Amino acid sequence: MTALPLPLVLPRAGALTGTLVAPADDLVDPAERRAVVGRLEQGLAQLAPALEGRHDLRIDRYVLASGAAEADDAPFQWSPRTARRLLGLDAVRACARGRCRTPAEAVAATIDQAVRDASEGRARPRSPDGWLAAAGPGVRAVARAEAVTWATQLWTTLDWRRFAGPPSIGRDEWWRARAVPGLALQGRAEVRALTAAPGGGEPDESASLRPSALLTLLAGTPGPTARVELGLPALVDVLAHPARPTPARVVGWWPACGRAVLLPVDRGALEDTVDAVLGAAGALAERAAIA
Amino acid sequence: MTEPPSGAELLERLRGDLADRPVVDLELAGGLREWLEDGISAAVAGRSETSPPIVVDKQRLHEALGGERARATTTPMALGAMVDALFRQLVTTGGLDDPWTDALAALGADDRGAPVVDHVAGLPADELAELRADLAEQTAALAVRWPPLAPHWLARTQEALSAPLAGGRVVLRGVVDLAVGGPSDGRSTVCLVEVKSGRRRIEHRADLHYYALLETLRAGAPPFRVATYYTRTGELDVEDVDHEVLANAVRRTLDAVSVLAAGDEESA
Repeated sequence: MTALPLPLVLPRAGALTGTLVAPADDLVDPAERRAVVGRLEQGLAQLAPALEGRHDLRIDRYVLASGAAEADDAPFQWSPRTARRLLGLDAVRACARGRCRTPAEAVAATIDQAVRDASEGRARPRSPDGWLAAAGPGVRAVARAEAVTWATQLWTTLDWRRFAGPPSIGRDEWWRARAVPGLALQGRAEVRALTAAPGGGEPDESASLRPSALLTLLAGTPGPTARVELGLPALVDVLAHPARPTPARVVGWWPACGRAVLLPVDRGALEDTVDAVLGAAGALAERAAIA
Repeated sequence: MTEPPSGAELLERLRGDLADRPVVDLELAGGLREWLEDGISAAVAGRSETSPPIVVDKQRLHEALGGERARATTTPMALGAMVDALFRQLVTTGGLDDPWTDALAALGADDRGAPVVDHVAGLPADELAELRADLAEQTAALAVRWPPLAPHWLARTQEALSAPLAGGRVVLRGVVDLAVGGPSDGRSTVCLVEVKSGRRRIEHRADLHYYALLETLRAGAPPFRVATYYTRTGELDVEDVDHEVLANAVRRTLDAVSVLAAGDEESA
């Protein structure tokens, strides 16, 4: 894992995007992938008896960061803070596809659409649509403000003209182990893009063989668990898409402090992430035993 | 008496002339960071590696340097929080329909606003009426005077800024009410604005200098301007950011961190 130095060029989005999509090889060979996946499945299988009967367990980057201490049972509630990422991702998608010129316009359109959909009985599942429709103007305004700030941070992080093809924006990946179907691993990456073809060319036929690169936007400042927080979306990608090349790298971006961290996805990065996931699953199992 | 700025005039004072914005010194952010790292590393050298980080925000800076300690929520603080929420609404949506209801709803949407909502709910009738009147007066003037911001200026409200230093043993933090302007392309592009519902105070400038420092560290480019907007009077204090402003912010931050680190050692 490398802290990317502050580039002495402005705007910095060009340098960050260049690092993200630089040509890359798959750093993990198939045998190594199988070994990593096998160790994770075996470790989870050993915990299966303790986690039996639980259907709602999730390991995401927050759980890894908190050592499972925050994997509490409090019911999820929509709020301006919990809604900002989803609204912001919709807005950045609209900007990237040329439907809106700025995050502020895109967020306004997203919220108008969400409220309209909910009012007409077409609220998207697991979306804040219904909550927004029921909220008053004061709450809706904060939700919009939070989403605009979040979306602007993501939008200005990258130079969107430098992607050879349209990147995937905000599609979370999930994986469930056969042995513990009640436990889901969530890989969150705000942007998934193909790495550039070696030599700068863009032959279409090579696209499916080229590894992807992930960008993840994080709050606050990089902490001691940053390596495994960045490794998690790469691991979930490997688990959920066995036929795809292993993602080449994950770039973590902390907009509040302007820090970027590059994680090349090699066997060591995946193994460390598996250790962290098994540690978190073990902590969940202990909590289940106490409860 | 001069009329407070509004509309296009206020906007012009915030945005200035594009051609006059300074070219960014690309070594500046790194130099400021090194200065801070050196000073802060020395200040925390006596602390245990396992000590929790010293988290510094504008209030802790102020207190460390002899300023008044923050108290439990007061009615002026509640007014400030409500004005902040409504300013955010105005900048984002362009309008304010029912300031009292909207401000309380906005603050109630987040745990952090709960002390203010609780304080307001507990006010006696006469104080409540006074607060309502004060809020109505300030927000009516705000809605008339504050100009709409073009979407391509990329206005962000309540933007978090932070700078971990000395390997994370000290974290400088701040939340700026409004940041206007996209990422720098070689010239300074950002203006930071703080909104105050109370009277003008000298330390408001120091708060903004601290935010200018954090913005420089994180963006690699300093803001070209900082401003405090007083909703009670409509006054706008504007200051261009130069090396001296940032150097003073570094000195003040180092002084405060030394005090905070020494205080921690004494209490350990």
